Parts: sequence; C-alpha cells; structure tokens
Amino acid sequence: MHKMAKTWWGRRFLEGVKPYTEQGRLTRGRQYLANNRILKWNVNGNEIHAVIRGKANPYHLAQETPIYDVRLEFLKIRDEDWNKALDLIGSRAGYISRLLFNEMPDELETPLAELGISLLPTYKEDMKSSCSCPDQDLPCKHIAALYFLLASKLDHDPFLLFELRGLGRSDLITRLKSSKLGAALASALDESNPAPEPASSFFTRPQVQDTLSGQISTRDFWRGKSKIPAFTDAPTSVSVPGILIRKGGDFPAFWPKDESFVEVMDDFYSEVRKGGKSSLK
Amino acid sequence: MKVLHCSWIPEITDAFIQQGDFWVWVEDETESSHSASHRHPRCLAKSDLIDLFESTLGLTVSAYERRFNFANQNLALPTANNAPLFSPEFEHGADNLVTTAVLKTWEVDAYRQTRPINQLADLRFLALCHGHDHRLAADFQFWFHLTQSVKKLILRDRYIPALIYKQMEYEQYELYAGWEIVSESLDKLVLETELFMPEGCAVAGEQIYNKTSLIRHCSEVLIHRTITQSTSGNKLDRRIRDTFLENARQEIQARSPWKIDEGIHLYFDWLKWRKRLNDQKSQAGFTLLFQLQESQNDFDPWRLEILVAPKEDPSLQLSLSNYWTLDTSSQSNLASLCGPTFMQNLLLALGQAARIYGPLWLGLDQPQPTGIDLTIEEAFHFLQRDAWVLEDAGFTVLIPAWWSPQGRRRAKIRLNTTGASNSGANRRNTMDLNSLISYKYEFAIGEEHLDEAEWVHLVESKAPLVRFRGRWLALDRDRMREMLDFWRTHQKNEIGMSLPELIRKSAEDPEFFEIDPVHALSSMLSKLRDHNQLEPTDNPAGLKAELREYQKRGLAWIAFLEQLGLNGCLADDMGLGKTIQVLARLIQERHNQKTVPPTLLVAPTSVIGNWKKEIERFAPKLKAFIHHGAIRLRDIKSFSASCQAYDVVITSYALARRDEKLLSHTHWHRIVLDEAQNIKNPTSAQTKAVLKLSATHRLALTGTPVENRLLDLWSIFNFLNPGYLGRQSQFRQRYELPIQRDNDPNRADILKRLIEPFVLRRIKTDPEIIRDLPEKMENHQFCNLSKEQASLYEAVVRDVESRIGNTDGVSRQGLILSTLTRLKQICNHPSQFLHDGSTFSSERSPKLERLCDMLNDVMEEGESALVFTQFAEIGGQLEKYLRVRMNCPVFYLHGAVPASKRESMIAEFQDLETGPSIFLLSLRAGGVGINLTKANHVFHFDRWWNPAVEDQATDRAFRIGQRRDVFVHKFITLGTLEEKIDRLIEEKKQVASMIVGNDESWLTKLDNETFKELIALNRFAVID
Repeated sequence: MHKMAKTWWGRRFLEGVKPYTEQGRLTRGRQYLANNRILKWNVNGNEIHAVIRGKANPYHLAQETPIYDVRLEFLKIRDEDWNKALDLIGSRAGYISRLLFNEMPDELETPLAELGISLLPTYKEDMKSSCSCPDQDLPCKHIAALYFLLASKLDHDPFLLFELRGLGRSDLITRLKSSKLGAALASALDESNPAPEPASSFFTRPQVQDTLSGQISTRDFWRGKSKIPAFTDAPTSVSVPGILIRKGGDFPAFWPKDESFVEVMDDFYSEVRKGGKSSLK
Repeated sequence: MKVLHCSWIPEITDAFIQQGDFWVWVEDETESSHSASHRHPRCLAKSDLIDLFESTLGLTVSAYERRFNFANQNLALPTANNAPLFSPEFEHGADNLVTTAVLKTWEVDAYRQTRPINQLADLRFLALCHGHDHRLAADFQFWFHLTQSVKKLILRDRYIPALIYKQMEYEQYELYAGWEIVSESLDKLVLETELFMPEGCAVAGEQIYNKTSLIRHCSEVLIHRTITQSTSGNKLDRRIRDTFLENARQEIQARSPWKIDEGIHLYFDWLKWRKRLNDQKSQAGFTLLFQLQESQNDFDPWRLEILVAPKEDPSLQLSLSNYWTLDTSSQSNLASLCGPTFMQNLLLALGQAARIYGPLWLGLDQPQPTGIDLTIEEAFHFLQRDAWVLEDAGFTVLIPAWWSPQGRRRAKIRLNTTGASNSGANRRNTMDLNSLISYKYEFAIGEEHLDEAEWVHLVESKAPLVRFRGRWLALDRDRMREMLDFWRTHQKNEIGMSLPELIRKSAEDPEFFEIDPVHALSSMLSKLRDHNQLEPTDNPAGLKAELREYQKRGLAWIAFLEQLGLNGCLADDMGLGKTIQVLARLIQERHNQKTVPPTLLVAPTSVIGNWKKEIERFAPKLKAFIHHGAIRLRDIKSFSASCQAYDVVITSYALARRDEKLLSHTHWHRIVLDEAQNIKNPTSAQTKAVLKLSATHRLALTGTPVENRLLDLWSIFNFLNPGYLGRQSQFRQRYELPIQRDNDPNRADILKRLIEPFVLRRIKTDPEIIRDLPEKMENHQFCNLSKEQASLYEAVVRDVESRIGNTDGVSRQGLILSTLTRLKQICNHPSQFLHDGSTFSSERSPKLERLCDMLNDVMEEGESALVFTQFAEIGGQLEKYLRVRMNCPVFYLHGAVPASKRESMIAEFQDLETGPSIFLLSLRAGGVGINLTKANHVFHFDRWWNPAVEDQATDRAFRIGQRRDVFVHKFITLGTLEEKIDRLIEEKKQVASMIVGNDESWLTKLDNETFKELIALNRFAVID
C-alpha cells in the first residue's frame, strides 16, 4: 500500500507512523511528494527539515501559495546502545556485506530488539514533528509528505537513519573501525563521489586517421595482420539472465521504482535475447 | 564470379550521437557497358543487386527496402591506371601483383543492412552454398565475424544500462541514457578483432579511420540498435516508465538528453553502482573459490567451502576456515598477498556471490564465514545450475570429479549382442554381410550392470544424488524412466539390427545407448573409430611394391570393413597412395579365395590410363581391361561373359552413365569409385547411374576433405551406405543447416561420430605419417592422348620416318631433336604444336585436364604447388588458363621476368597469408636463389629427358631437407615416346646420368630403327 517505499526498512518506517497519522493526510502527503511540492530538504544532526509548497486556502485566509517549514526531530539513541548495536553489526559478515551495498540487513531487526534497541522510530516520542501551517492537528499532510520523502531516501541510504538517531557519519566510521568487519564497512563509507566521466560523444567517435592521398599497400588493404578466423563458435545464451547486474545488488540508488531492478532487468535481457524486430531475428 | 563486399560507414557528423550503417555491395568480374567516370565500373547496379539477392540467393527485398535501403555510396578503393583494382578474391585477376596503389573514390550501388547480425550470416551461408560463383570479400568476412561476436555479447547479457555525461560550456552538463558494453568484454573484442581487421575495413566511405575506434563505434551502435529494436512488450514499458531505462530504450534517432532534477545525483549513483560491478574483477587481489565437498555417507550434509586464492599466486588456495584459525600476523600476511583492503573486498565479493546464490547468506551470518552446509537437493541444484552461474559471474567453482563430463557415470541402456560369442568363427558368421545382429538390452550405470529391480529402485528413489555401490552419482530420473519404458517395450523384441543401424544409434545418442564394452562388437566399433587400433597387414605377396606402415593399416581397414559388410571411403591426402592400397586389397583377397569376381573401377577418363599402368606396374598378376572407347563391348551377354575373365574392369564416369544398363546387369564383387567427388551432386544423371550399379562391396576414394562440404559427403555416403545418413532433406535439416549455417558444435560432433567409422583419412602433415614418408615422394602420372593429339602425333611420326633415312650428320641430329620437341609439344597440347592460337582447353589434352584436377586437390588440401615446364610458350598459356580455372593466385616465372619482379613474386608466394597458390616456372628460368618451400607439390608438366635436370629443378626450390613432405608428380603420356623414354630411364636409372649427360643429345646417338621404335605411337593407349 505504501508505494513510496520499496525496501523493507523504508516500508517499516512508514508503517511506524501510520497508527498516529490520519489516513486522509497520508494520502495527501503522498500526493504532495509526487507533485513535487517539497521544494528543498536537508538533514542536520537528528533533524530533517523541508520547505513545502502548500495550497492557497481561502479558509485560512491564504490567497497566495503558502510556503511551510516542516521539521522532524528524532530521539537520539544512547551512546552505550550504539556501541552494542555496532558490536552486533560487526559480528556478522552478512550484515556488513549488505550494508556495503547500501542495504539494511533485515535479519538485524530481531537481535537489535533483543538488546532493546530499535533504529526505526517505534514510539511517538521517538520522532517529534512540527509544521508552520495553520493546521492544528498534527501530523498534518505536509509532515506526511516529509514521511514519504524520508522513506524513499532511506531506501537508498540506510545510514541516514543512523545519522538521524544520533550517530553522524564520521562518528559511525570511527566506531566501526574497532571491529575487523566493521572496518571494512568504514573504509567503504569513507569514499566520496567519484568524478564524472565526461564523454565527448554518445558512441565512441570513429577517429579519422589519415587522408586518402598517398600510396597504400594493397595487401594490407585486403588483409589484416592475421587470418580472419573461419568460424566463430555458435553464440549461446546464459542459463541465468543478468548475472552481471545481480552482482550490484538490487534496488540500486538510481532505481526509483518499487519493483525489483534485478527482476525488471531479467525480463529486459530475455526480451532482448528473444530478438523482437531486431538483428537477432 | 561475384564478390560480396560489406562496409561499416559512420555518419559524417559532429553531432553528439553519431551512428553508422552496414552497406553491402557486389563486385562483378566484368565491366558494365555504360558507366560514368566516377562510378565503379564493375559494381552491380541496384536492379542487378536486387536480382542477385532474390533470384540467385533466394532472399526477399521488400518494397520498403527497395525504396529506402538502397543508396549510392562513395568508397575509397585501391586504384591503378584509373580503375579500381580487382579484389584478391578474383584470384585470377591481373591485379595480384600490384603491390601499391592509390586510394580513389568510386561510387557503388549499395544495400543497407538494417538487421546486420542476421543478414550478414544469411548472406554468408547462401554465398557458401553457391560455391565458387559467389565469394565473400575479406571486408565482408571481417564484419561478419564482428557482428557474430557482438551477438555473443548480447546473448550473454554483457551490457548494462548507462548514463553518459556530456560536459557543456559553463560547467553545464547533459545526461544521455544508453547502454554500455561491459568494458572487459569490449576490450577483449577489440583486441582480438583488430588483429585480423584488414586496413580496407577501416577505410569507410571516403575516410580512413583508426581501427580501434571504428570497431568500438560499430559494436556500440549495433548493440544499441539491437536493444532498441527488440522492444515488443508494453508490460516492460510500464515497468521502466520514468526511469532512464525508458529513455535508453527509445530509438537512437529520437534520443535526447535525459532531463531530471536530480540528474547529477542519479549519475553519481549510477557511477558508483557501475564501479561496484567492476570492483571484484579489477581491484581485488584475489579470486574467490567455492568448493563442493561430498558427504561421506547418506546422512551427513554436503558442504560448500569458501576459499581464496591470491591472484599473484593462484595455486595458493586457502579455505576461509583455515584462514580464521591463523594467528594475527599470518592472517595479515595472507591478507596483504590478497591486495589492499582484503576484508572489504572479501565481504563485497561474498555479498556479490550471495546475491547470485542466495543460500550463501546463511554462511555469512557470523563473524568468520567459512561456507555452508547443503542438503542433498541443494547440492544437486548447486551442481546443476548454481555452480555454472557462479562461474559465469567470475568466481571459481571446484566440484567433485564424478560430476565432470569425463568422470560422470551415466545411466544407459546397454546393447549386448546375443548369440555372438567371442570365438572367432562364430563372430565372423554373425557379422557377415547383411546379417542382422541380434542383441538384448541391459541397464548399466557407468561400467556396471543393473537388473530391472535395481533400476526401478533408483528411478523411484526421491533423492537426485544417490550413492550407488559406494560412490555418489547423479541420476536423470526422467531419462531413466524413458529408458525403462524403452526396455520394457523392446526387451522381448527379437528383431535384430544391422550393423550400420547399430553404429548410428550409438553415435546419435551415446547418452542413451552403449554397446557392452567387454563384447567383441564394442572392440570392433572402437577399431572402426580409432584406426590406430588396427593391426597393419603384411605386404601381400604378389604386390610389386613395399607398402608403408600407414598403407598396411589402410589395407587392414578396407579388409576389416568389407569383412563386416560395411562400405568405406578412403580419403587419404593426395600423394599418400590410395591406388596402391586398393591394388593391395585386390591381390590380398585373391590369396584367401580361389576365384573372386571382378571389381568395377569407375574413374575420371583422364586417370583411366594411369590405373591400367599402375596395375601393370605394381600388380602385374591382376588381369585388367578398360571398358572405354568406340570399340568397346556393347552387348550385355558378351560383356558379362568377358568380364568374368578379368579381375578389374576399368571404366569412366561418363560411360557409367551411358552404359548404365550394360554395367548394372553384372553383380560386381566390388565397385571402386576413384575421385568419388564426381558423384557429389545427388541429382546428376551420372550419380544416379552409379547408384544403380550393384555390388557386394563399395569403396570410395577421394583426396578432397569430404567433411567440409556436407552435401558432397551425404551423396558419397548415399552410395556407400544408403539410408545411413537419412534422406537428403533430413540430412539438410539435421546437419547441413545447423553445422554450416549456425555453427552448431553438437551437431558437428554427432556427424563426426556418425561418419568416423566409415572414413579413413590420413593427412601428410600428421607426424605419424611423415615418419613413414621418405624425403621426396615421386610418382608418375600417366595420361592418355586425345584423338586430335594422336592424329597429329602420327602425322609427325610418318613425316619423320620418311625423312630420317635420307639425313645424316648434323641435319639428322637436328631432325631428331626437333622431332622430340614437336612430339612433346603435341603431348602437351595441340595448340602448342599448331601455334595457331586455337583454344587452349582441357578437352584437347587429357594431360592438361589431369593437371587441373590434381591442382584442385592440392588447393583443397590448402597446399601450394610448383609447375615446371620447359616451354616458355606453354607456360604463358598455362598461366592464363590456370588463373581462370583455379581461383587461386598463379605466378609465372620465366626468363623475361626482371629480377626485382621475381623477388616480389617469390615473396608473395612464400607469404603464408597468400594462401594456397600455384607457381609456374619455366625449367630454365629457375636460376639461382629461388626458395619456394611453401609448395610441397612439384609437377613436371612435360619431361626433360634428363633426370638430373629435373631433380635439380625440384631440389633447388627445396634446398634438400627443408620439407619432408614433398610430392613430385611427373606427367607421362601413354603410348608415346614419353612413356618409352621414361621406361628407358627407369631401367637404367643407376647409369642414367652417365649416359644421358646434361641434355637430350644422347637420344641422337640412337640408330634409326631404335629411334623410330621410340617415337612410334601405341594406338591402344589412346582414349577418346
């Protein structure tokens, strides 16, 4: 039902806010996000702040399109609890493996709960919200819009949750380094954006090498340095499609959809292999 | 002849997206009459091009295509004397020796290939089917190869969605959605193909491009186009809406920058994702290995162990379970061997592997992962599928040897022949001609026999892997059930199976049937499959020659097949002595049996005389007669009767057709087809006539590699073992198309197994064979005179006979020498003697015909030849004639060739890239410093009656010992002075060089009567 989040932790976040948010507002909030009404947003410590374009509403005497400030403030997790949580994360290769791919390991939830820790807000007090709109009933639709925005951001970046719960990125990296497995994750998190790789053409541009003037050797013109192999082996398909992209993990950050990227690509690859109207047919 | 060309021509544009197209055009042999000066004079015009595609090649060119996919293209081509050079595929073209040229632009009519991967493959196949009439230019072959390589990448999903970042002015950028070929794959493709890319392929249109960039451009455009054209499902459209994939799937023409607000973030996300895909391969200093360890009993789980091996020292394979037990310093030592950030890379690699093979996550649920336990089902699935997938993803997988194709024990139905014991006498009876082999079916796994109950038990057991008699084994239950059904229906079936049928069954489906390996039948089959298992036969008494080792084995093979009632094809390379093996068999069978009915030998007319001669020479006890010529027997009764008095009846293919009734009336003991490729066309009257002949045994001889032309192969097999390869249409569907068009290796394997027992082919480059060969193999090729030659010959002889009595001294000597020359000219070709410029055709000279046939065989074998003649006049004619007939480069070196040109000719000939070619030399022009070791066949078209001169010519080209497989063929016309002088020389070989000095003047010392006798024509040797 929450089409705005596709990973389990994004969904779980939305499920967490559902009990105390009115259904109609949730729906409106989702539309706000979809209609690009969130003008900007930023994260500052345990706070997320957004600027949202509201609607003109004569009832509230707002004739022009109003702009609202929306804020979510998260309850910080205690330091000793963070230590316990990070110890736990550093104790399982699988957790680290998943986090390396920006995925929140779902197996992590239960053992954390056993330690009395929940990364996602579970109680109303875990997350305070405010909005500058005239609506007195909180959470309003603008806050709801921010919920949805946050859920989709969490999909791509589980570490945002760590930050909002009080463990900033540099702090997280320092603490992770204490365990062997954690250190591996820390060094990956340390990486910054790669530089763009500008291309001067869409396809490799054939480089003009020479002019037509001058003598050429006829034998070189007709023959390469070695003989053209008579046959190539019969091209065959693979047994499992898209093995390559599987290695990148599912729901890569650039993939905005709820449906699994890997599944879509599987079908895509097999459609191309079938040929359609293409050269393969 | 026509040559198909193909060019990849990029658009001329500075636009960000630059596409290109494949254009096909056809080069003809002759000039079209009306062409503008800038037009290629020999290119097919659009209408002819369409006609060629539709009428000749059988393709359809739609109205749409006619309208939009034909255009003039300007192509830069090598040009000399203001004309485009013939491309080398016209091998007889005069342009072979033009080594440098200028590039000039010529306009051609070209046909755009919008689905090039398939279209080029179809064209190639169809052109191959049309034999010598249509050839593929090197450029065509190159682009075909590239498109197939690209196809392979597409079929293996070696591309990913990509965002392309275009830097604009003022720090602005645009993003384009597209596809990226995995860099590793593309680099490999470029590296491989660039090596054999002709320069001409880089000359596209009027530009000369850098090869690498052109290959990349072409591959990228091709992949993009294939992807965008393959879209059919709306479903998929919906699933990728609003993602850059949607954009990437649009036609390239419509592609515009992809505009989204968070574009740059998305680009960075994509960049990081792509980096992660490549990380494992490029950055990690180790390989991740997975080893499946089998359970030691039926209860314990199987185990998949994780290992690492440093790239620097791949033999050091350390399991993670061992790694964790090492002390810290050893651990860090090992980690440093495995490159920087070992732990991070290990976890990344494990994460990647777990994404492909899910059960691995379980093993990662701890701080020190080592592997996972597997149930028997999981182990089976791992073996069946997951292992290959992991391998495909770049991990190394180690599996138990019993799963490998070599080590696997398979469940099979085993054929056990009954009634046939191992004792010799009995075995012979069972396998006699046409006898049916009675057999029973048994169940077997690997080497072991099972009864029905055990089999059923296995079929019904649930586990996919079972321990059978102590060892693990994978079972294909569906297949086993199929076998069970088969067994139940057939076990009572007592109808036997013929030997060819049995061989076919085990060749076609070796996974299903097997012949009991301990049974005599099996050893017999393995002898048929591996000829080295045959014991060489002793040299038959009465054969006037010592067989070489491989010939003795060949004799044993023929005898063995015939004993089994099977018919084979002896396909040894030319020069290895097929004739002598056949003669040996004819003599050998007469040792065991008092009277053997006659063998019918069908051969091309040009070699009939040679057969007769070889019989006289090597098997003088065999009585042979030639059924040929105007005075041959035509009455069925008298023919049949007289045949019985002979051992061999020799006739020609032409007569096999004309005298079909006469020849098919007799039931022959054996039919031997020499040059069996004469029946390669199944629909020709000649082939049909040959098929009507009846015989106990059939034997085909051919020197051309039959396995390369499948239809020829079918036709020959249809003669040998009718029905064995199915009907022609079935054969085409099952083998010809899959193998020759689609390069299906499995089909090729099956066909190979099918024909293997029936074809004995030894090649002279085989080290085993070379060991058996002397440094130089000499053989004499006897040919007949044509009627025309005979009458010219007789006229000269009559003239000389009348004059020789009246001359003496110098004039007598002159008369003798000029007579020798004139007669030799006649033996070569009437037009050489007549000097009248009349047609130089092989119909007028069987010798010329024989030369062409043999040269054809040489070319088919991929070898090169030298042809010596002592007459410059015929050298020139031969050169022209061979250029037209042979489709291979022909060089001619004679006295008037300047030294510089001689060098370039020799270099061109010797160059391995030149391919099989012919080098003609006039005997005297050879001179010093020629080194033509690429040839291994030497033909002496006419004879220099001085063996020393001939030998010198041969040896000069080879520098003794440079090659060990040199075949010298000396032509001798039967019934003429050539035959007599040859005999004279052979008889006096030891003293020959002494008597004959270094020229032919020794012949002038003969007295008149001896000379007359020498030149007299033996009319019987003339064949019309």
